[in-house]
Amino acid sequence: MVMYLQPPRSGVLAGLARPTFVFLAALIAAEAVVRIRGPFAGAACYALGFVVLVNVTFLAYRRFDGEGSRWRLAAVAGVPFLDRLLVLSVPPFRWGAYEVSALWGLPLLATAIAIGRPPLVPRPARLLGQPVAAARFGQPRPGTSRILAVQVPITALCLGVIAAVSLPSDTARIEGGPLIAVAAVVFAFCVQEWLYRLVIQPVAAEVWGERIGMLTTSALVAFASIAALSELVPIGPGVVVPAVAVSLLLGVSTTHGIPLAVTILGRGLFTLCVVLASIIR
Amino acid sequence: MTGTTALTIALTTLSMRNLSPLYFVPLVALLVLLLERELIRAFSGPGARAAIWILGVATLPLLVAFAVLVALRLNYIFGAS
Repeated sequence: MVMYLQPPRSGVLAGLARPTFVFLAALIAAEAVVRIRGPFAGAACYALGFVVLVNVTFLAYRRFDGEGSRWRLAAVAGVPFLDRLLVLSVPPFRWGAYEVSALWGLPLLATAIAIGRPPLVPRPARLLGQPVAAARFGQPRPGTSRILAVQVPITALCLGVIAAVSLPSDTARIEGGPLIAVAAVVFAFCVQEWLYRLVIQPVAAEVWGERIGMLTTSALVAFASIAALSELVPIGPGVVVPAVAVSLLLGVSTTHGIPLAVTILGRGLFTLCVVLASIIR
Repeated sequence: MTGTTALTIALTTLSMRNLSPLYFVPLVALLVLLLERELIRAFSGPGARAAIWILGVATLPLLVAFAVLVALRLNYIFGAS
């Protein structure tokens, strides 16, 4: 009899490969349903995914008795599903002749406040404080930190200008978009950024390490923000590439100890450029 | 007054027919989670407290979304009248 010895599949990465694959497949499938079958079917898929992940969180919590990071990972995995569900299904508000889809920022704000604290996030980062994920990644000197804190919003603004210039010329103008509508849209995207950086990034960093955690979170933020932007402006490569770049930039800045407020400011400036471009054109 | 008539009057008064079915998707998810929470509370076993906490946190954003929907609906009804 021949026995083949296999190396033990130890390590968190090996154990989480299949759930991660299932999660990504479900997210892509739900977004494909949105594009092919319409927002109602897509929102139903996202709602189903969210309810399933809530139950998986509960089961993981019970199985591991609230210890470890698996139940945390299951909990934060529900955030992108909830985010897309809300973006698709929270009704737009009307301001005169203007109709804007931005009120999904309010439930996301409630989510960030509710779950961005222990026990899910053991040491939540304050808006002006240093993110926890930066602790082992390498802390810059105070001078470097200040320079980075200025550079990040400026770079995000430049990327926003590039995205705004790249908008298709046949983009429907947002007629008479009032300031409050623009502010509501920017606020919603800022809350989205805050939720992902406050909740998902520390948990992902705890499981996979800072770099992969940052890359994962940045990919999820890029996906969520591009999908939400597509409700407002037509999306092309000229918008997608800067949006991915700004998500990556904000992720890197978070891991380098830049306060979350600066990251949120960067997201706000990027969104402001894209939204203003559709008004001014 | 039959049930159908009452429902028709209620739908007309609240202008519910103008609502897209899309807006009800998070409400269905909310109802499912609330129902699950109540069932767990009723048949409370080991770990029920954690389950109730997790379900409570999960329902919060959906409750806020419901509040937003109601507020917009009230604004639509009273703004139109």
